[in-house]
Amino acid sequence: MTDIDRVIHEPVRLRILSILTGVDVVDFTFLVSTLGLSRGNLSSHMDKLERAGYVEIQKGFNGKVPRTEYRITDTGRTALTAYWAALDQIRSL
Amino acid sequence: MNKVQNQPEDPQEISRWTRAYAQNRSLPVVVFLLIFLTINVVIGGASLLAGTAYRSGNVFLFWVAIAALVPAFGAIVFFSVPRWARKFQTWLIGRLYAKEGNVAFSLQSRHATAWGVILVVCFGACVAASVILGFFFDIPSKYMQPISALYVVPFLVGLWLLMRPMTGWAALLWPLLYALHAILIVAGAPILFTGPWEVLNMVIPIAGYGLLASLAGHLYSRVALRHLRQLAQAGANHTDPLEEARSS
Repeated sequence: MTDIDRVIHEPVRLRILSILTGVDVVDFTFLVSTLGLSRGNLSSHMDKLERAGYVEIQKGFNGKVPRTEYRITDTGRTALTAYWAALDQIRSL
Repeated sequence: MNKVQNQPEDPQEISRWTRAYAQNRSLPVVVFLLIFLTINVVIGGASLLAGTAYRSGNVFLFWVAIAALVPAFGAIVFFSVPRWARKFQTWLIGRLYAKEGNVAFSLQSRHATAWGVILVVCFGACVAASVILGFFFDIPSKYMQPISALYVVPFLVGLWLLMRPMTGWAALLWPLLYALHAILIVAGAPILFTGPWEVLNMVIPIAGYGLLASLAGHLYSRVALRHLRQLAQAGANHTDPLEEARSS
């Protein structure tokens, strides 16, 4: 039976990874406003993705304003591709 | 819980619209072009006024015109220093997209930077060559824009190619309109300004079409963002991972 990556299978996390594959870097504000999530909810999702090694988090300052940026890792890209392949397999059953 | 039904039909659409949005965030270019136009209008207008006032002996008006020139030249100095200009650009992007957040592509590779330097040097050499050409040959002013199109259009296209994937297709409107303008002039279309408005023959293709292309890009970025938000928020089961963890 096909294994589904449970980290990616959560719809919000899948959407986050899809956004991250489109560009190189996105910041916290962009994800919050685009996904319509609360800050706490997004933080939890990003934490899970980071622990899985799918995203890289970079914290810094833009002048005096704190800035958190995310980028997808190679592991994340590979996992996403594998996830879609697995999902396609399930859908074709 | 089966979440397969909640997954977007085509996840690549989310990537595609994110990319389209990021590539067309051209509002800072609009602001920069407006600043550039304002500086030029102030310098042109104040210089004209200063000259007229000086010849007519109006000392007060002369100094008013000089006072208007000071901030304009100050602005030129400010934007000529790369570090200050970069700082301003960062500040501007932060202000303009404060609510939307930041989304970007990585900085260019060294390879692209080297080509960028070559492109700028070639462009500078062409500008110098056209000025020298103007000294030695009596070129009618109506052909200034078509002659400049020979190097401005390849420069803008080259810049677009080097800046990819940072810039979208809308940016190509600029060289396209510039080339079209040149072709129409050569073909004899009545689109030439004369007399005191002659300067517009260059200002419109340079700044006007640039502004138009940037505005088109900006409008497209709005469309892309709307599509992206619809896709990113539609049907999503926004479960709180903390709740999820607790229940499992």
